[in-house]
Amino acid sequence: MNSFERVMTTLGHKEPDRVPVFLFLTLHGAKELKLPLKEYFSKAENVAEGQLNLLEKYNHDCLYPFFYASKEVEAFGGTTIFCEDGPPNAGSPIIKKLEDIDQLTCPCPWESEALKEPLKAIKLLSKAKKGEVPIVSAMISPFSLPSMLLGLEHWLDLLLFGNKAVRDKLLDVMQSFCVGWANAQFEAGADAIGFFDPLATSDVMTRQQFLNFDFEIATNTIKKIRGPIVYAGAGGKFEHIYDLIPKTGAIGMVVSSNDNLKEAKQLVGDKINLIGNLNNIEMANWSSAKTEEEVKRCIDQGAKGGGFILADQHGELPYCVGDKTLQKIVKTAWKVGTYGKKDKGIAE
Amino acid sequence: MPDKSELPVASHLLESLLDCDRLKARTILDEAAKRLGPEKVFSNVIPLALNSLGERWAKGEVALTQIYAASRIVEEAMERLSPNLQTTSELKCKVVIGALDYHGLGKNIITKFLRASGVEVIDAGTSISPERLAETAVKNKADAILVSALMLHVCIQTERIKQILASQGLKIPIMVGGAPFNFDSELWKKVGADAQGKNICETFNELKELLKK
Repeated sequence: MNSFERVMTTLGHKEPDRVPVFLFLTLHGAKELKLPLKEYFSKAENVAEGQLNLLEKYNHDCLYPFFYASKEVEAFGGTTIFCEDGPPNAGSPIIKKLEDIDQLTCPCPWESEALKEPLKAIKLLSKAKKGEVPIVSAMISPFSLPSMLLGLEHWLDLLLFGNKAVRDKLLDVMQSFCVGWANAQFEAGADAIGFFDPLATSDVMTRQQFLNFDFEIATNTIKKIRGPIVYAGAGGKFEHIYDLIPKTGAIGMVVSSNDNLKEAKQLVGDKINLIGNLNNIEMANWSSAKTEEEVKRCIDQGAKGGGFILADQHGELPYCVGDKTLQKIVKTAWKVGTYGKKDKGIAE
Repeated sequence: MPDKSELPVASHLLESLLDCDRLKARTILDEAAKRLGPEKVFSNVIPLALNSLGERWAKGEVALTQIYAASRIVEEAMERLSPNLQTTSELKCKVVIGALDYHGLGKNIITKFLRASGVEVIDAGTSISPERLAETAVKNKADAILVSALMLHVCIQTERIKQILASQGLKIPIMVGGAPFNFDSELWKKVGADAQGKNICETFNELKELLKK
């Protein structure tokens, strides 16, 4: 069973040979190629080579050609700020005043200079590994993207206190962009896309606010995307909307390390695939024993019956998480995550 | 101490804050200011509602949107009803606050709440270097430095602030806050901070403890 078959089997809520492991490595590819982050992300070839090196090095089960969230801001004319040892950040918000929303147009992913390289990286990886290793990409949800285009405070002001017509106009543009961007990634060869909606998490919104503001736009967007979508909260909790996420049309959900994976499995494990929930922040300081303990916990709580992928809770592993920990995660998952063995691994 | 007539007002205010209902909160506050006077509103009614909101936040029962809305409503009320009012605070101190990365929301919320509680807050801004933050604190003779960070790799820079202060023979207590500290309960110690503020209540209480030392 190759990685693609393993992942497809578990996504069908059946048990594959062993639990699939996704290491969501973005910045580590630059380390492999010994390139500064800015240079690394300037060319699709670098990212594709970095991903293939990481795949060979760690022997995990996905390729993750996600560049960085601010790529989408660049598509709207914004800038990105790079640093040496952490994820790039969006520069100043491009929407300075609400009147700017009237002029906002939706960039076409295939014509966007900013999105050219990410799409090319997916194509390169697709050419190299399609059908062998799943190519997982990522996007920001239409509801969360405005926090980078306006700044989070201005987006919350518009959302909570502002003019509904202006908000709807903005969300229309966001939705058109997100649908186009996701479909372009599938066309390029992606097998699944993480739909990052941190504003939907219980850390940010109540269930009622999710229903009032986000659920409909998320559902309508996912309906128009021609491929599997995984709902992700970038570390935030979804406990308040476990039951609603499957109704958006998403086939998977990333579970926060602050969520209870066991409970999530019991409540919605038969309706949606669960991905997680290793703590990517603590992981930077994990000992070998702690790494093993955490991998075992996740597998014990989430793996039975399939529908589970072991991964971190955020969708991006910090640059400072080292080789030993990453190797230990995969090694332990192989050791304890084998299905159908009563003496070791997951009991039937 | 709040009297009995203030409790129902605080309760209604809390309800409007939880609903993020700015207009309702404004009406409640304006009517209360007319009836009780702005001093009582700011010394008793608002702190009662905010304490309750803060306690619910600490228990994970309210969301960031509700906290943000409350901070905006209280800030507006201060500007509208009592721009020159001196609040009676159990925490009389001056702090410098800054975000080490580009994410300023947490810093801005804490700033608004501390100001509403009578704390003098000097906002050093976002994406501020440890050097600049330490310099601002020394220059303003701050009683404490509040550091906000959303990204793991910048959390570590907190240690630099401590080193800079130590090189000048100074020790100003440092409190940190931000998502990475909530995911790793030991991180605040690892970066050399003296305390962590996970939410408004904890920030307020930890600040009181730090200033006692």
